[in-house]
Amino acid sequence: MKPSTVLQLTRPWKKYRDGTLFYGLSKSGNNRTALTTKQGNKTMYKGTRSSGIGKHTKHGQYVIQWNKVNTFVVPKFVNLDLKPLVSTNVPELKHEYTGYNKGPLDSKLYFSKLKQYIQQGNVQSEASDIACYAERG
Amino acid sequence: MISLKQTSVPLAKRTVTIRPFHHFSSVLARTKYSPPRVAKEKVPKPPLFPLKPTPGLKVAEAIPPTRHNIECPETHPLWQFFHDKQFIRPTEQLDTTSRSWSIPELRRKSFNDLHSLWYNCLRERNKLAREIHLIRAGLHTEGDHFVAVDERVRTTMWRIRHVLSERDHAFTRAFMDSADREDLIQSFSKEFMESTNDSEEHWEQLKRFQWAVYGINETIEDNTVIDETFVEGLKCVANLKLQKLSTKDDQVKDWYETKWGNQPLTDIAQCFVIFSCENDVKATLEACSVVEDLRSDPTRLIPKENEVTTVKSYINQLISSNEE
Repeated sequence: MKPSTVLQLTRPWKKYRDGTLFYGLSKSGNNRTALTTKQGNKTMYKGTRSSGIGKHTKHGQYVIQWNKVNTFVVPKFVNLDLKPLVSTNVPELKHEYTGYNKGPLDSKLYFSKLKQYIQQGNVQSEASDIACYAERG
Repeated sequence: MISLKQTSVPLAKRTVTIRPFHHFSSVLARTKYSPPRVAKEKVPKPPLFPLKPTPGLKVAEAIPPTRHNIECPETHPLWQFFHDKQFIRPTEQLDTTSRSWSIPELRRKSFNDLHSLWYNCLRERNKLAREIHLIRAGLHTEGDHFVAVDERVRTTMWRIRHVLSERDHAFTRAFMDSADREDLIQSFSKEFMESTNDSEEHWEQLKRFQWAVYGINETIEDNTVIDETFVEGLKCVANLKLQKLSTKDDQVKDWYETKWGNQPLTDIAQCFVIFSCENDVKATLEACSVVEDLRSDPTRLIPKENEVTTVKSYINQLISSNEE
């Protein structure tokens, strides 16, 4: 068991200069449920992550700043052979990181892979064999 | 005080209560000498639509608003929200047995594959969301089979993001410490110089090295990010190339060892000339003479702060000359 950090406990505790809470009306109660748009005080703005893409001008117009607008990049050549789910008959692959402390994030592993790529180029690894179910990673 | 009776023009037919402070100036403005007010002529507005229909116009028969009277093209983009153009697919057609992709499986996929897999998942979830919504609203039941499939597809999607973040972390960690990177560069240069194989394999290795360590693509057009790392790589690759060719050919050796004192090239313009020439002796000899010209004129040395912009302009020139 670890003691929970102070930051987690003080979630709605932050106050404005006038003494009102940053959001919420009281400090007591269950603070772990998600806030809805109807909760909080006058400054609480939850939004739907869809607004705030521009600025109001003094003439009442709204000028969209296009660098703030979400853009969705679709792959140029979609590989339609990849389906969202895999058959249960396919054995699950396992990765073994023996000798690499940090697992997939290990920089030693990263450089060994780079070295292998420089020497041999793109080669099929053993895991492309169907019988193989454990790979180095 | 001004009495209203003095004015010859009838001010108004209504009874006017005198409010001297309010209407004072307007009352003063008119005397019996001032010209009479002329009412503006009213210009009749043209009608909004012609009052008579154009000759030959016939009223068509009314089209009843039924489904059969609406034609939907086969390629309509909203069909992407339907499975086989069905309203709600029967449960037998749902993939209830398959599992989500596992993380080790996704680790083996390239970025492009993960990207397309993400969008394939998204399309599937669009269909499922539509069907689940209809089932909930119309049948007042939870479409449990549909929700279960949706949850599994969602699992695949977070795993894709997990794998991508893993890659990003691995990359930043690996290049945070420059010692490992230096080791890789040193060991590769040593190996490259010692390889006696006459085949083209070591040139291929050099290409892969510049791509893996410095992100320099073989095709010039694909290089969009040109920064300090790019410049550093360009210098390193040019020097490796020059050294390798000087061991193969005496003329290049003569340039490199006797004339330039066996020192690696440091100026970006000279490096770029060597870098962009072909990997054979003849092209390199031509490049060497160009480099000699550049070296003879100290005003043509490029200062360090201008290196990136210079390389950008060189590459743009190369691309435009290739297009011609």
